[in-house]
Order: sequence, then structure tokens, then C-alpha cells
Amino acid sequence: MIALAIGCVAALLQKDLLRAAIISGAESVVLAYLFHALLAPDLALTQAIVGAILLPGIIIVTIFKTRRFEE
Amino acid sequence: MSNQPLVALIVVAPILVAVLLNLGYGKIRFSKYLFIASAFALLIIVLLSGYGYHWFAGHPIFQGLRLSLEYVFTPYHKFALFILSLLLIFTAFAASVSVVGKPGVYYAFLLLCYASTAMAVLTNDLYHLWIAVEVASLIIAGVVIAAGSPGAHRATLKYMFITGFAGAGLAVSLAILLGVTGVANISDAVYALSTMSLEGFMPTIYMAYAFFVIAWIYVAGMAPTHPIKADIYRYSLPHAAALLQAQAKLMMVAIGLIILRLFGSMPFTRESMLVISLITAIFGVVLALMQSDLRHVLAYIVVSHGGLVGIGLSIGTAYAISAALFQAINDIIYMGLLFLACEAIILLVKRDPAAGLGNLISKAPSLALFIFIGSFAASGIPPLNGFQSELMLINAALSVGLPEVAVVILFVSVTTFIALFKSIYEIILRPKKVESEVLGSIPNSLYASLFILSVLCIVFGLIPQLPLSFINPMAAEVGLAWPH
Amino acid sequence: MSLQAAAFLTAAFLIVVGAAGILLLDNLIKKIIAFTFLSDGVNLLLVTVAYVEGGHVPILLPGMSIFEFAEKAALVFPAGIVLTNIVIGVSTTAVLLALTIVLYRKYGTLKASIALRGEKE
Repeated sequence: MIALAIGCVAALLQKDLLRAAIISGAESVVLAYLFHALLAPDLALTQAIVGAILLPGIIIVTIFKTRRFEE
Repeated sequence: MSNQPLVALIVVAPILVAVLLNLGYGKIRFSKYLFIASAFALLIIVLLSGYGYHWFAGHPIFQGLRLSLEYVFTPYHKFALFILSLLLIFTAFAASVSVVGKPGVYYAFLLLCYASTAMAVLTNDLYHLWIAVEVASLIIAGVVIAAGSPGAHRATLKYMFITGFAGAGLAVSLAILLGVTGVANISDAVYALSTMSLEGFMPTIYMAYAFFVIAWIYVAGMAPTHPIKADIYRYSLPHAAALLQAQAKLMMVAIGLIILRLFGSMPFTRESMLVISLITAIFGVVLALMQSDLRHVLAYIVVSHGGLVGIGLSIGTAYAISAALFQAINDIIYMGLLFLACEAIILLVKRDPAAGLGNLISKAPSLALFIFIGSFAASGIPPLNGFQSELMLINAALSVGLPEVAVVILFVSVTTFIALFKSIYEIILRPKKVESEVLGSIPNSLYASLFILSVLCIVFGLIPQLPLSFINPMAAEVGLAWPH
Repeated sequence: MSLQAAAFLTAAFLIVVGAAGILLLDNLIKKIIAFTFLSDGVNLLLVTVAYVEGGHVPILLPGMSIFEFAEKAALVFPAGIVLTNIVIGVSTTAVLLALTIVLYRKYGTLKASIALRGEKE
């Protein structure tokens, strides 16, 4: 949970957008583990797949079609 | 009260037809005829359904609790969905003429717009309400993007950001209500909130109320999100704007009635809703006065009349609620008329009304007549329907002891008149300043739609008891006393 | 501090950071990442409402009586809401990213102050 809090602030302060997307993907995996600890394993599975593969995937596609560094 | 399985078909049928339209998107004539036929079929289903309820996974009442996801169908629902189906038919006619290319997916989006509104109007449980709001937001994004201009893309991007707030907020409200009362059905939740002792829970219940009101503001486009919602109406295609404003008004009334049932008896809830509605009504018309483009004026008037409906809902007595519901139905009719008239102007001169036009009255006199009827109705001029509902709202405000609110309603009515006629003079009456050639023609179906909507304006104005007979039972059931 | 209270606090923190990010940040893609944090926070809040102290997973294992299940299992309904919310979040993020690409091609920048300003007619 502390990792979640530090991670989300860090992700939004990055200058490199690719790194921000990857940090958000890592945070989704931590969140999936937290769902498992809170007695919801089906949600843990869904959140792990969506947050670690789907969402960073489409954000990275967008970054490659626009620009990588914040100006 | 009996179980009516046909009621669920009002929501399920458009979704199925939308899937079929998606599959056959390459065939233009198939999509067009399927869309128009399904719009007529929906009107017939609404007329055929009997009054009652529909339980999903229906099981009998257990110890007085319903414990299930439920749709309710009363005379008010039949009337509201009848008007919405009429508007869907007119939008279908207009869309089939003016949309070029392969429109199957666009028709599917318009049908899903209808389905999400029907779901929000019919539902009696929180889960369906939240789903309706989220689906409606994605569908609005799709419909507006179809217009293709960069203004449409900007408007949709801003709209989707506030969707996140409203949808997340409504989910939090759902979680709080579920945690406090333990049920998701709204009748059960009202019963639970009234009979259990709420000692330590009041702050959390006020949080649930606050998030509900944020979702209400987002759906109706009230302050402070009114510029974003007005951009949605302005940048979409005009026939889509006609359907979208009907959706916004009906969903706003549905969420407002649910807020009144759940939180209406707690102190300071209705006063805060009244303040938000007043700010929206005033700012909406003032911003409408400052616009130069007819579609922008219409968009801001839609938003500000939403504030009027909110004033009626916030006052909360039975008479005020029936005034608000009547005002919402009248708004849908005359704003739909005006947006479809914009579509007709675009079909006639093949140009946006934003660029200067002139002297339309000599080229299409019947279209000018319909625009005049719509504008008189929107401004609240007797004997049309806008006058009757605004009179009821003013009476409701005075009977509760709030003459300042009555003054605001009068101000909104007069300013609507000024804002509309400034633009309409430019387009219809001004002689020969910028001459515009007639390049196209208005199809008969669009003339028929405008004619039927004008007739409804006149009939509801002359015989207000006819729609009020549908609305009054619902208002009497939800009405509360004003606590001063 | 119990697990449920700590999870509530984390959810609140995520929601606040996400909301502040959407309103205050300038870059469009960072706004979208903040939007995913907002919906993550809401999902965490919903799952924490469903938690039961010392309970077990809401799956009816063979050999368990229905009364034991009703007493000790975590709530099921919020799990349905969270699954729907995750799907809605992915769809909304996809639409937002597509619109970002279109606006970048038109205006050449990802700054929200330039790409989202009003049109001068």
C-alpha cells in the first residue's frame, strides 16, 4: 500500500512518458496482489491482466504515435 | 402490480438491433430500413406494455423486501418513453437522409443512446442506474466523434475526463449505500434508511449524497460543467443533438427523483440542489445571449432549461415535481423541434447556419413557421406548452414561499426569448443581406417530424391536463414537504 | 491498523491524487494515466467495502454448508461492480487515447492548454 502511494505520485511527476506508463503498469500488479489479500481472487486476476498488459500496451502505442518526452 | 416481461424488451431490443446493425454495416439500405423499422417497433412496444414491474431473476417478495434488480413501469414511464421513441423515429428519418458513407455503426450508437436512457428511466435499483450513466457517457462520445470536426474531438475529450469523475463518484456512492443499508434495490434502500438508526452514519450518507449530486450535475450539464455539455450539443450533428438533449433531460429527471427518494428528507440536501440549479439557469441563458451561432445558442438554452427542471425537482413538493416533469417533457419537444429545424436548414442550403444566411422566410415558409412555433414555445409564450410548465414552476416556487426563485424563472424565460430571436432574425427575417441559394431540399419525412412536434407543442399548451394526468401520480408518490 | 482501514486510506489517497492529476497536469497522456489511477482507487474502495474480517473467499467449496458460507464469506456484489468498472475504465481510456492521437496530429502538441482551448470563431 505504501508502494502504491509512492508509486502513483512518482508516476505523475516523470518527464519521460514511457517511464510513467511502466510505473503505472507495475502499480496495477501491486494492486492485484492487494485485491488477493482482500479476498477477491477473481478481481486480482482481471486487474493483473488488464492493468499490466492491456492498459500499458495501449498507452505505449499512443506514446509512440505522439511524442515520448514531455516538453 | 404484475410482472411485465415486455418492459425489459424496451432496453434489450435496441441492444440486439444495434448488434445486427454492427454486423451489417456495409449494406447501406439494409441498415437504414432496419434502423427506421426498429424505431417504430420500439414505439409499439412502449404502447403495448402494461403497467407493472419487471424483476430480473424474479423471486417473490421476502419479508417485505424486494431484494432484486428491478424495472418499474408506471403511466409516467410510458409517457416519457413514448416521447423518447417519437424523437428516436424523427432522428432516424433525419439521420438516414443526412449521413453519408457507411452509417451502420452510427445508427447502432443512436439506438444504444435510446437503450441507456430507457434503462435509466425504468430502473429501480442502483446498479442499473450506474450502468446506464456509464454506458450513456461512452455512447455520447461515439455519437459526437462521428461529426468529425476538430471542435467535436475537443468537446469529447473534455467530456470523457469528467465522465471519469462522475462514474467513479457514482460507484463510490453505490458502495457507501450498499455498505450502510445492505441492499441495492432503491425501494428497499429507502425503507432501510427510514427505519434504521443512522447515528454514526450521517457523514458517510452525506458523502453518498454528494457523489450522487455530482453524477446528476454531470448528466444534465449543470454548473460548473455547463460549457462542456453545451459544446457536446453544439458540435454533434443536429439530429444527434436532438436525441442527446432528450437523453440528458430524462436521465436528469430519473436521477433527481432517486435522489429525492433516498436523501430528500435529510436537511440541506434540497437547498444545495436548488442553489446549483439556480446558478445553472442564470449562467446558461446569459451565456446563450453572448453566442452568435444558432447551434451554440440552442445548446446553452438546453443547459439552462435543465436548470429550470432542477429548480422544480429541488423544491420537492408534489406540485413542484409535476411541474418539473412537465417542463422536462416540454423541453424535449421544443428543443428537439429546433434542433431538427437546424438539420433542415443545413439540408436546404448545404451550409452551416453559423455562416451568415438570410431571408429564409421567402424560400421555405413552412420551415420558418415551425421555427417560430418552437421558439415561442421555448420562450414561454401562451398558449404553447412552455408557458404552461413555466407557469406551474412559478406557482410552485411561490406556494413554498420563495419569490426570488419565481423571479429567476421569469428572467430565464425572457432572456431565452431575446437570445433565440436575435439568432432567428438573422437567419429568417433579415432581407437580402447575404443571399443564400437553395441547394437541396428537405425530405417529406423531416417536414412530417417538424409538423408532429409543433402539433404536440400546441396541444400540450392548450390541454395541459392531458400530459399532467400521466405525470401527477408519480409526482404525488415522491413529493415531500418543504421544511420551512 | 487493520487491513481494511489501511486499504480505505490507500484508496482515498489514490482517488485524490488521480483527481488532482486530471485537473492540474498539463500533458494529455499524464492526465490519462491519472484517470487510470482514479478508477483504480475507486475499485480498491469497492473491494475494501466487500471485505470481511477473518473471512474466506466467496466461493462455495464442496463440503461447506450454506450457513457457514453466508456468515464468513466476503461480499460478492461489489466484486461484480468492480469487474464492470474495470471494463468501463479500459474502454474510456481507449477512447481518450484515440482522441489524443487525433488532436496531436491536428495541433502538434500534447499540452492541454493548447489542444483543449476554445475555438476562436
